[in-house]
Amino acid sequence: MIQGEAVATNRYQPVVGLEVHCQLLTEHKLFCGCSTTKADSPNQNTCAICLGLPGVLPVLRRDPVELGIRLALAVGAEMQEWSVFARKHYFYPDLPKGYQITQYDRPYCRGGFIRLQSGTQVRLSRIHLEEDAGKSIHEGASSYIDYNRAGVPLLEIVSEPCISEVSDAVEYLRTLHSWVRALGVSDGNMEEGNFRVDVNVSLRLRGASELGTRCEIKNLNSFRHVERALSYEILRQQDLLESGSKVDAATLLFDPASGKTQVMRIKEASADYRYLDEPDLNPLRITRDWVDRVSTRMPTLPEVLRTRLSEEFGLQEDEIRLVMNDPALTRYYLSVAALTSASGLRPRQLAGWILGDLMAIVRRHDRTFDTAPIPSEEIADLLCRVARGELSGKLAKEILSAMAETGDSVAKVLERSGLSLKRASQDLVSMIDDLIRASPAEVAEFRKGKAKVLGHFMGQIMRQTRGQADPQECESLLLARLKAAP
Amino acid sequence: MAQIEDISTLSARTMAQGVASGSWTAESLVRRVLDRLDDVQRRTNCLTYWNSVEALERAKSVDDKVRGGAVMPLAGVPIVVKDNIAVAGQPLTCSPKILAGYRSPFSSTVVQLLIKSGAIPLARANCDEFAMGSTNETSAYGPVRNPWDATRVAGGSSGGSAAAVGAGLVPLALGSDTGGSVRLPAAYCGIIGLKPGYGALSRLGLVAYGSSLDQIGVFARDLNDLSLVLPIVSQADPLDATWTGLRAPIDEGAVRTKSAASSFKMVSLATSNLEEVDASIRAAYDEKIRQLKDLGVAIEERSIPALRRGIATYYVLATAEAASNLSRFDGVRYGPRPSVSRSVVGLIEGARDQGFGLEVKRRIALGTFVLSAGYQDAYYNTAVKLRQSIAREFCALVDEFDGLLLPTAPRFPPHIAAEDLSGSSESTGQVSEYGSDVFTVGANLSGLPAMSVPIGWTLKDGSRLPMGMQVMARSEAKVLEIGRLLS
Repeated sequence: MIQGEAVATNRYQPVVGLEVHCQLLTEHKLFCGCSTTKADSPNQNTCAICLGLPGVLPVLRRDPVELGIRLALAVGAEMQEWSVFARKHYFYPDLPKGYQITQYDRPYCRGGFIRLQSGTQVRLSRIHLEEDAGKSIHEGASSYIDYNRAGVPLLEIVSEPCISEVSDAVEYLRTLHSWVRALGVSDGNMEEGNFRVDVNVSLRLRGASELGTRCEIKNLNSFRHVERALSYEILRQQDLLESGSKVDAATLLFDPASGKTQVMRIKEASADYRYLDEPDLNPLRITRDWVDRVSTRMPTLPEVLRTRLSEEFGLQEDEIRLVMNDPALTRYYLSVAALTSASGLRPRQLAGWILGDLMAIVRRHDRTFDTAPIPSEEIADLLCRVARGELSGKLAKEILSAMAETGDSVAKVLERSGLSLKRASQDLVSMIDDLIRASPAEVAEFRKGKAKVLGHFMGQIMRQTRGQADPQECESLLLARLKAAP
Repeated sequence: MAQIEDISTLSARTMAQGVASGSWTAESLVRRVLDRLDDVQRRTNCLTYWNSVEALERAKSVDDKVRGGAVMPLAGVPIVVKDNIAVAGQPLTCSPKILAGYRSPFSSTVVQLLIKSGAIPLARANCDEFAMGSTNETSAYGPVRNPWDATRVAGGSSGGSAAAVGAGLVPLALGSDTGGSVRLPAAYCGIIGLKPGYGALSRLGLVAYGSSLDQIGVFARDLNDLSLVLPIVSQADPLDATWTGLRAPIDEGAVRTKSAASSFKMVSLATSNLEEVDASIRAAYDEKIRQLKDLGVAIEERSIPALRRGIATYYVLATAEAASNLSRFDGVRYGPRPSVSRSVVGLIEGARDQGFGLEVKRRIALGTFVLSAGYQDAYYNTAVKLRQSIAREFCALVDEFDGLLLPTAPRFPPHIAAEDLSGSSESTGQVSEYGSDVFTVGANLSGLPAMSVPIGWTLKDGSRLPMGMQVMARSEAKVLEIGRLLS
């Protein structure tokens, strides 16, 4: 499959816009109190309101709006103090009222952007709130409708058609995906359809201002699919245009098996949804106060976090991605960092311990960082002792393993293994003293200023402790004892 | 135990007081009503459903509660509920076929509040299909006959509720008013019909027709019953985002006596606005104006331009909202559906084609058209703007004056078109029938409270027919006070 990059040399430039429908992480649906958790059986999480029974009225809940505000803040969108809900009409069995309550010409925020690593900014057109429809299940000659999903709150995030590279499209989606997860806005579970992508793509003659005919690829639920579908579609349109044909506006579906896009329906004109302002709901008012309150309550903005991870914690790009993609790991990391901040532990040390040793343990035990075998306070304790020179790195690793197996604290593990801190140091001190007594010539050399002899002593110590001793600790003790020796 | 002389003249207040004082039981009230029910039904066809067993159970439950010391301001009062207002466990059909067999799992808030106060919803009233119509001839259950002249309509869309009260079956009934559907049949049946201001009563449980115009309304014989009921049914409902409550608290005392008439100033209509009004109705209207003046009320004659534009504006907006609200009736979740359909589209089309009556189809088609691309601006958006100017005009008048006095119906109730019980009897000149709403739509478009009160009788084609006129004011309390002056 030829990547989008190959198209860059062509006389046509892709113009790509992305629409993401993202299910919000709220307890309840948008307009009723039904639960949004995955149900055991169909039509279990339903009520008169989300089924649209005769005589019901929608009632807007606050939580979904809060999450919407969070994302708007994160992308720097312009919050609209007043926004309006509208009815979008079409007939389909999974749409109980025969219309979807959404926002049309007055969404709750406009604009905003997401910056890619290359520095390119993908501008957003708008974000709005809407309710989801139910699910149709086709089995043989029958179709069934499950309304558990009907009424679940969604954010529709629309980008400007400003993307021209497939890789940019994928990176934009990945970033948006990690942000909504980091912010607690959505769990972003693409397999369950909680993060659905529609891609709009057309080709434009380079240098020309006129846009080509647009096709929409709907319901892509993995980044890989987006990449493959977009690449295929760009080539398909390019082939058509190069051969003198024209592109027909259409709604397409992507078939992962063949790697091709297929026409779902031809779009003659844009569908007429006969939008009507929702008379059963008042306009939504988002005050400055509310926005401020949300701002203080929300998890760290991705940009800020990224900067911290890079500058304060010295993480590399891939490490940053690793941490930011996992909200539990982010919390854990920040917690340990806070607890060890005064200990003198170096950032790269912290990174090594958490992303190296601890990560391996967490994976081996098949856990997440929210359920890690070692709580953040415990590992912080261990790392503080290492930073203070009380434990050698090697010893600490052993203790870490033991902690993971037994769930004991550092103190308990040490107690169990018969190692006391003071005793360990004392043993080392006497060992060093013995060495000094046994090497008067080297001591004399050292007194003369020949620092090289330290290596001799260090070598001896390492051999005698079978590499168990911490080099830094030895060195400082050695120097101290050398100075103190007669 | 006291004897109930003639239940058809007892007010709701008297009935409830009797139950509270032990003069009679709720059960005895319900039994007396049930005794008369068959006769009234035969004469008027005003009901679509009743269940004696259920009614008596409800009555007994009220009696138990009263005996246990509960204070219930409407204890034992039998009421009738229009068939587009939900009562849990009772059918909710709105008189068409598309909801045949559907029983609502929940009760409307207004009904819940009435039940909590001891009222007994013992029957459901016939109405125009989905509340669309002014003559109650579009019902799948057949037309409702006027209790004073069985060859004439009772009015619509809440014809059944009006006839039930007009025939003396029950003292109170619930209807719904989107363009005059409570006030018009009230005038035709010789009783009081009140449409509260928009948002005064919760709309939860009212099958929506024109969401920004609908209100549940109340029929009564006695003005004091309205002052008793309104505070009860206007309580807050967190499940209706458009609820705002009564515009001013009701002072029951003020409604009981004619307050200082000379402190009121009102507006009556200029001749130019009254050209289409039948001569007898016009005469009765003028007579009432004169009587008020004699009482000391200052009345100024005004021509109201908004009346001219009201009908077209109303029908564009109401049909648009109706088309939207009725989209949910697709045969998928409830109601009958065609036994064989080839596709989803076929199923939905079949269910709606077979289930909706002609008038409903007409209005859905109209509503869809005015919202459709290319026409929305010219029709719907224009109507929205016109509505704002109409509302401003009426609101300015009720701010400046205590009340607006208008006729309710311009003409007498027409004769029932065809004796066609299949549900889609076509009145000749359908669009001219829309014209009977000319004086009533203003209150819906502006969201103001309005009430029709009986103002006299006339002899027409050998029948004695009632006439009504309308009061509009800035609050329900004010409307009731003026109603007292007119009585």
